[in-house]
Amino acid sequence: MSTALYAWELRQVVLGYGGPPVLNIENLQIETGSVTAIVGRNGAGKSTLLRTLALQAPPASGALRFGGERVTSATLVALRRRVGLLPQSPYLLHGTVYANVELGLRLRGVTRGARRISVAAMLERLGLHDLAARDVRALSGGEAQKVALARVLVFEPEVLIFDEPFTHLDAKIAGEFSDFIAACGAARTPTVVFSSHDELRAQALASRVLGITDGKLGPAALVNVYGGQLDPSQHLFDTGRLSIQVGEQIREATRIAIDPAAVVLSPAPLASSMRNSFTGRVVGLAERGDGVLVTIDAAERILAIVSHSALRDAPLAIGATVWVSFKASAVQTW
Amino acid sequence: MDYFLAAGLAALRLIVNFDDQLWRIVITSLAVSLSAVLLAAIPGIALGVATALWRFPARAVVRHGLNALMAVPTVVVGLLLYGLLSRRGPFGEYGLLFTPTGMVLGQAVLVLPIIWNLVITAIESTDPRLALTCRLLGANLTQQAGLFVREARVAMLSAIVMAFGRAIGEVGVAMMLGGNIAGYTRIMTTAIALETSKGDFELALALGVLLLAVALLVNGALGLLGRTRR
Repeated sequence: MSTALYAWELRQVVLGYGGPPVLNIENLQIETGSVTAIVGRNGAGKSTLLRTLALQAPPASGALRFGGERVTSATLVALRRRVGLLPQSPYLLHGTVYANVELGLRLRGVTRGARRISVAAMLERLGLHDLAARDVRALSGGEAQKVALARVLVFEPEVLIFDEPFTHLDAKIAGEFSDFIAACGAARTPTVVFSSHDELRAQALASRVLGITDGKLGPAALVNVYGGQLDPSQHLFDTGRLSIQVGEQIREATRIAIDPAAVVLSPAPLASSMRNSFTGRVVGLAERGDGVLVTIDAAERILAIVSHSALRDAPLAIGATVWVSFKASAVQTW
Repeated sequence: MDYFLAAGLAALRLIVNFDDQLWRIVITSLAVSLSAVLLAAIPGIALGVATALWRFPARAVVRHGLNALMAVPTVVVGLLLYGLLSRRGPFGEYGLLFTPTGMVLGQAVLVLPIIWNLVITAIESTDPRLALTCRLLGANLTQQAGLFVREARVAMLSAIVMAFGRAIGEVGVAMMLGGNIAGYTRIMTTAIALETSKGDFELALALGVLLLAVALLVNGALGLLGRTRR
C-alpha cells in the first residue's frame, strides 16, 4: 500500500489520436484518500482522463506518477494491479458470479483457500451472497454492476475509479453506489475518482470537483454560475443583483461560479474571515447523496450543500432567514 | 435400380456384420484424421490467438494468406509434402512417405490454416469490452490470452470440428502421402476411390454410408456448438 501524499500526479499529459489532443492536462494532483469527481459533457474527455488514471496506457507525452512512482511501459502492469476501475457498462465473463468475483485474485496468484474467504466476505458485504452460484447471464443490470464492483473491490485496490457510476442504474442501486463512495470518503480509503454529468450529485459526494471541457480541466461548478462585470480595483464582481468578493489575483472575469460545498449557512452573521456574507431566505431543501441541497434566495439564487449532521445542529426550514457566507477563494472566475 | 438396391443391401450387411476389412479402414481413417487435427490444433490455436491479439505490420497479409490457404486443393498440399518426404526430398531419411504418420503430417498441414484462421475470427468475435476487462483485472499478456481462449472456447471448438470435417473427407493428401496400402494406410476416401474403380461397389458404398454418417455427426456437433455459443 502506497503512503504517498498524492495518488496521482500528472504534468503536461497530452493524449491525442493523430488529431487535436483529446486530453491536455497541464498539472493535476489528486490527494490520497480523497474523493474526486470529474464532471463534463459527453465527449469532453472524462473517459479518456479516467482511462489515463486507470493506467490503461502510459501517456505518450508528459509525466504520470501513481502513488509516487513514475508510470512507464515497464511499470505499467504492476502499477495497474493497484487500480480498480469500474467501467460504465462492465463486461462479466461467462460463468458464475463467484467465478467473476474471484478472477482478479486468481490472476494475482492468490491461493484457492484465501480466494474463497475474500470472495465470500466481499459478496456478503455487497449483499450478493445469495447470487454466488448464479450464471451472470441471469443477472439484472444493477446486480451485474454490483458484481463488477465486487470483482474490483475484492483485490483491495488503492484507488477506485468509477466511469459514470450513476447512469443506467435504478434509483436504489444508484443510492447504494452513492453511499459506498461516501463511505470510502469518510474512511479515506480507497482514493476514489468518479465521472458524472450530474453536477449536483458530484458536488454532494466529492471533496473536490474537476470540470473538463475539450480535454482541459477547468472550473467545475456548473451551478451558482453568474454573469456580470468585474471591478479589479475593488476585487468585486457585480452580477447586477449582488456584489461578490473575488480573489485579489483575479484581473478579468465575465462569469463566476461559487462552489456550493464551500457555502456556509448560519442563522446569524458569522464572525469569520469569509469576505462574502449575505442574508437570504431558504426556498428549497432536497436530499442529494450524503448531503442536503439548500436553495437560498439572496437577491440571486444560491445553492449550498450542507451535511446531515450540520443540518441537525442548526435546522433549516423553508422560509427561514439565513446568512450565506463563503470565502473569496470559493469563487471561480473565467 | 436393382443393382443399386442389391449393392446397398450388401453394403448394409458389411456394416452390421462388422466386416473386418471395412472397420479397419474406418478406424484408420478416424485415427489419422483425429491425430492430424489434434496435431494442428495446438499450433493453430496459439498462432490464431497471437495473430488476433497482437497488432503487427504484416497482419493483413497473414489474414489474406490464410484465407487463400483454406481453399487450397488437397492434391497441391499432397504434392508439396510428397516432394519433401520422398526418398530424395529433404526429409526423405525419416521414411515417412506411405506411412500413417506421413498422412497425419499431411492432413495437419492441410487443416492448420483452417484452425488458425477460424481461431482468429473466434477471438475477434468476443465482446469488445473483454480486452479492457482483462487489463483492468490486472492480467498480464499470457493471462489475457488465456481469458480470451476461455471466452471464445465454443467458437474455437467449432473451428476444430470443422477442421476434422475437412480432414476426414479429403482424398488428395491421403492418396499421395499414404499410397492407399491395404491394412496400413488405406482410409475411407481412398478406399472408396479404389474399390469403385475395381468394381467392388458394395464395399465402396458401405464406406460411403459410413463417411456420410461421420460427416453428419460432425455437422450435428457444429449445430450443437452453435446453439450453446454465447
